[in-house]
Amino acid sequence: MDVDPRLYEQIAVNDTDVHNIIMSYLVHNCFKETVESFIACTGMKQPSDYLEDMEKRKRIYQFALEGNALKAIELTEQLATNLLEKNKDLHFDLLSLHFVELVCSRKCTEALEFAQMKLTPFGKEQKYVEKLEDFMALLAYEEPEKSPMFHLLSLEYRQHVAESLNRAILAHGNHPTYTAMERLIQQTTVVRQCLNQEHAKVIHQTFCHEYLVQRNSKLH
Amino acid sequence: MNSSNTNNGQSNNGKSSRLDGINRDLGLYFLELSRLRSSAAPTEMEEDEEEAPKELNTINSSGGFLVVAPDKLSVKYTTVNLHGHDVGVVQANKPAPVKRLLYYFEIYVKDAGAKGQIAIGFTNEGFKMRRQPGWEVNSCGYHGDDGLLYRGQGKGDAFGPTYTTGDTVGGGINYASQEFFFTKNGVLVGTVCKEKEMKGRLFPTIAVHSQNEEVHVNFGQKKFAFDLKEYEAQERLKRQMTIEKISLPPNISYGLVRSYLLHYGYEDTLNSFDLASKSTIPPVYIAQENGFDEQDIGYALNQRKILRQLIRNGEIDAAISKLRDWYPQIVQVGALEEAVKYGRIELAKFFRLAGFDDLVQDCVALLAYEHPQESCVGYLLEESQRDLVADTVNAMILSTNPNTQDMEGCLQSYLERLLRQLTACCLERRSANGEQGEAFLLRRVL
Repeated sequence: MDVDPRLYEQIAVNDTDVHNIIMSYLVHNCFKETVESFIACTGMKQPSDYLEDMEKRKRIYQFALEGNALKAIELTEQLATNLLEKNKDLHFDLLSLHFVELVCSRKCTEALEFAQMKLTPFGKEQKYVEKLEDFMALLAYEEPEKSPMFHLLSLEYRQHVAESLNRAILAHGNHPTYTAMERLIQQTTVVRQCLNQEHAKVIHQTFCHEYLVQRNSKLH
Repeated sequence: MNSSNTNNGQSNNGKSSRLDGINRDLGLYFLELSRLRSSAAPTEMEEDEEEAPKELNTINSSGGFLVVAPDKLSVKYTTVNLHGHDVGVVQANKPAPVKRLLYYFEIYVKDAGAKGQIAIGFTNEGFKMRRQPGWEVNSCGYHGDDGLLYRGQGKGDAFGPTYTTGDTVGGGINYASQEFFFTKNGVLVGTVCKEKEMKGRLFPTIAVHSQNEEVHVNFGQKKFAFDLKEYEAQERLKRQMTIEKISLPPNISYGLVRSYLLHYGYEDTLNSFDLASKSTIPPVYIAQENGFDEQDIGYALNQRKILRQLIRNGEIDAAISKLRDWYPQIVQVGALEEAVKYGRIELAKFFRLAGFDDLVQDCVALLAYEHPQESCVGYLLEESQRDLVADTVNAMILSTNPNTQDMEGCLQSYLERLLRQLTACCLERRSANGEQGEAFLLRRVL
């Protein structure tokens, strides 16, 4: 059952909606100059006030990404008090970033002390125990990047933590934590899956689907 | 034929006529888009108001066994029942509306009478009105005397508590999960899967079967005992959770944003964006290297940007003059007569709306004037229309790219195509479900 092509052609997309989608992406990811430029070029209204915090969020994100977790934590406390207290998982992840930094710089004694002071208190709760074990295990290896837990040292892991932190800060300020763009792509995927399952037929192949597939394959 | 036209034809051989064709198609496309945007587009229109049940249907009820009150909102079983085929059944006056997430109604048991053989449920149009809902195929009913759920067979399934005098019982349909659900005194009792066979129009149905049973029905005119809004919110949240679990290919949003900026010629914004992206995560570089410019949408970026700015600022003379310098094949000066003639013949085929022909003619004529704003079609250059004109010009320039593979690439960026596809798929999915469920509303996502 192909999507009726006439129906597809007839669907008008509102320019304002599209601009807002683009804007939500730019704001979420702290592209301040780009936001300003986009507003100037399209004449759209400036979004609400959380532009001010964008610079701060950006710096926090960068520090976390680099692995400079302590700086990230310090700035987060300034920007959003109590945020880390309320997000223990996130707090643990950030502290673990610092731990990993120390391990990578081969400062093992310091790492151990840091872990004992800051990480083990989390171990009172069962869910952190396993995580704790994984991190502590890094200490046992001369070359932690060759250990089975090497993913904890990776850029992807830091990215994941930085992203979570970004979302938490947005949530703290009562802003959307996911961009409209992400939601739309997810929703399209779900609906397509449903249609495929229910009817076992390939839906109208548009550039967009191919684009998504292409992107996926090129990055593997 | 005008002499300047002939020249173009000769110098470009067949290409000129192809471009003419493309330019006209593009013009038509954007005009149609404008028409769609100005009238309510199918996606953003409010759903046609479906009629919801308001009262009981006294015409097809099993009269003789029961009595319906004059307000058509309560029933009473007056005689003594003798067997299984003298049930007093009554349906609502309209079937349950389908273009929404949930439908729900309630009954209040005023009097359980001799045996409390009351039922609430849903039946289809041709239901045998002397049988309890659930005792026949294509019906379902939650019975008060035994607390069982009947779904078309003589034997019911264990479902929930019994109910009697003073209880408020509700029955509903969840179109998203394709389930029936029932409540008692404001609390959810349970859900059951709605069989595929029960896809036709379903009528809210109530039944009484022993002497002096009396039931009142509420189709929403009064407040429900059950918190329907809360339930709806929870169900929506469940759907949302499913969506949120989907993992996204890395940097896909980045790609869509970038391609949007490129497509519409926002060069300055793009430069800003690229500069900022350099200092973020490395994978962003990979995206740039591989590129996705099948159709080379970076084509003529600077020119498209300049033109867009000029048009937005209302500097039409400057825009047209630059356009003439860079893309003479697009601007057909002096071809006004031909343009208008084309408008009358060709476009009349496409547009059924009377009065729209004039707009179309005007648009086509616009590009043919030396001084458009002074022309009678100058109104098109008002601020509100400028974006439309800018988009048209943008698309026309993209179409001159020799690498252009298909027209669709010129018309909309990947992002817009994603949105259209999403809307179309949601509508398609609903259609596959027998038109049940909500339409896709972009507002909700944004």
